[in-house]
Amino acid sequence: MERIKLLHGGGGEAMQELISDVIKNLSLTKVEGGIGLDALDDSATIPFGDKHLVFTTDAYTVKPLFFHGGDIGRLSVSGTINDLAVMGAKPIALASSFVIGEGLPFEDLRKITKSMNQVCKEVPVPIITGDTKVMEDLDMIITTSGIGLTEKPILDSGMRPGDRIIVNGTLGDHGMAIMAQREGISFETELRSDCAQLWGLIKKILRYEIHAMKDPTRGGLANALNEMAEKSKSGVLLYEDQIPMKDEVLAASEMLGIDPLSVANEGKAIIVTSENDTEKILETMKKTRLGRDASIIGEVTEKDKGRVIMETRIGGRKILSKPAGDPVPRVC
Amino acid sequence: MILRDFRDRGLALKASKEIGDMASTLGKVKIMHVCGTHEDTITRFGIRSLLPENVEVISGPGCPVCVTTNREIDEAISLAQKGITVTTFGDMLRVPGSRSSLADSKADGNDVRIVYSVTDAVEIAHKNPEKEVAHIAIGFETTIPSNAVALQDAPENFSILCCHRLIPPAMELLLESHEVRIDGFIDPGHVSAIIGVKPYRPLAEKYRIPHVIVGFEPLDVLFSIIMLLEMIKNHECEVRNEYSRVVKEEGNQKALSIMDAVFEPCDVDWRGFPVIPRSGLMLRERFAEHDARERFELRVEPTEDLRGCRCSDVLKGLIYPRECPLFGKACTPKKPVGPCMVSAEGACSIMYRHTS
Repeated sequence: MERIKLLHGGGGEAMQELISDVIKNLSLTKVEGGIGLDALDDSATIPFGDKHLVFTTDAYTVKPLFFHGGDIGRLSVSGTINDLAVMGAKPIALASSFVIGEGLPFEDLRKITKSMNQVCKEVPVPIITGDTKVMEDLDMIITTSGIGLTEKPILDSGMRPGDRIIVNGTLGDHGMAIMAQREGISFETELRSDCAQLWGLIKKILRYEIHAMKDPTRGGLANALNEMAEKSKSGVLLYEDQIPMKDEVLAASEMLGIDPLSVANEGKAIIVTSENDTEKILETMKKTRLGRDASIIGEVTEKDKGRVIMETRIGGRKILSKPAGDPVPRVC
Repeated sequence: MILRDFRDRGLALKASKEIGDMASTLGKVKIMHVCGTHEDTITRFGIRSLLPENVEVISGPGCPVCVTTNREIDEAISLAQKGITVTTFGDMLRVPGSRSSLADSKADGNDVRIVYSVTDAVEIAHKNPEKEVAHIAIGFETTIPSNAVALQDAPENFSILCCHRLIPPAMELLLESHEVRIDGFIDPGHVSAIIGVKPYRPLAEKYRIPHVIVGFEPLDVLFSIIMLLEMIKNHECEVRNEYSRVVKEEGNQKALSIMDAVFEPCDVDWRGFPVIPRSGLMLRERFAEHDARERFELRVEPTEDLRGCRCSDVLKGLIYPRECPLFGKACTPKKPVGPCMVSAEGACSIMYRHTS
């Protein structure tokens, strides 16, 4: 009997297979004039007068619940806000459901809800409804849904040849921090998750010409850019030496044998812009805390449709493909 | 930071030009490496795109997961089915045995856990004295010493399924068979840190082939290709050490003596190869109680390699992964048929991920 494996949850091709299996039995997947489940974008949309409501939901699990740079509460709110923000939508309200494992200390729950509150206040966006359940044999799952509003949704499929690709900062931080913490690797400068809400940053650049946006969470930059290239039917040329990365992330990735471009980010956006507006966007971003390491990492090309080509640090070329699933450390 | 120094773009492009110039006076040159980490460096940095057409770098039997046989996977699955906690490196999880993989076994509810080192596996045994814990010990000379150390002080409920193999005997078998023409060897840096320079000398002399022991940064690999081309040009057959910042002439004597205290050589089959004399290791008598095969009386039926799968030819350097009829069709990283598509170090998986 074919069963679902952990691999199916790790981002990449196996997860896409799982998602298609779920979707194929659902016949009603969008509202008239809106973007629906079949688009597999960061959020869906519902036409609302001359605007669009943007709607998204995400279930969050992370082990450990508290990690360097954040916790499951901060993650569950930031992640949903970011899914709205990369559609160009201002977050209006959130809903949060908790499935709590039996035995969780009340003190932990309080810490988690306090850090949710902190992120909500930054935006600001209220949590207006929710639910709690308690179950055996798990730590905690938080499902956060969000609703936002925009005049014009920004899709992840809008890349055009000649566009430039910008990221707002260093890549691989969240995934490597979690993995290093699980494996007990510590450095003098501790690896920290980049977990943060991006609305504060994105609202400042929405006045410029942005053709596509996406947050590279599960599966990392490699997965997100491949999806964008496929959906936009264009190619991507990346410059490895322009990709911002912390030394400790690079070092941990070498130790664990994991490609830092295939692991999750939780406070990063890929922003695809017209060539004309690139410098203005970069300048605006660099003035913000979450965008001070922003960099132009590549461009959109006519050729190599649906593929991501990377010019490596030493000047070689290779294809950056989608990760197959959860990265596992190499043996030797 | 050292990682950035050995990845200097200017030097890499200079080396690439030098290789191009040297190769222009030579015919077709085929260089083999026998290490998954070398393949990783070569593909990760796009080194093949920096080489002239007549210089080819092929991968040999250097991925420890890939050379593990169906029999060994079946043995591991059988341990898990007996209710034993099986610990393994993540790469092994999805390798198909004759019928299923350890990942299937885990999904069926058996206790299969991913560990990052043998120390983690021993720790699990310590923490769960009521359970039997068996670790799948794979790898070449690089990982053998740490397993040997772990066994010297292992708890009573800990055993290993020994799947260790030694590199030089496999290199010799390849050369002896004359199935594939090899003009030079990139010798594995990690393995050599343990065994030293000496074991390659008889191979270099007997088969008249130059060797370079090589580190794992892109510049290490590019420099080693220059060193090999120079020897090929001058008809020299020496063993040179590019990785002298780590590899010493005598190797790591302490590690070698610990290995010898715990293991003894035995004949073993490799995926893609026949039984290679003295290329495997078994536990010495004194450690027999930690031998999972003995302890749990494992008996699995021998099986054939998977139909249509040409991993064995890939491992011998006879074909490139894309020449296998299953490559990219029936066999992909998502649904691998053979081990070379499963392991992150496998030539098929690497080619699928990095090339068109």
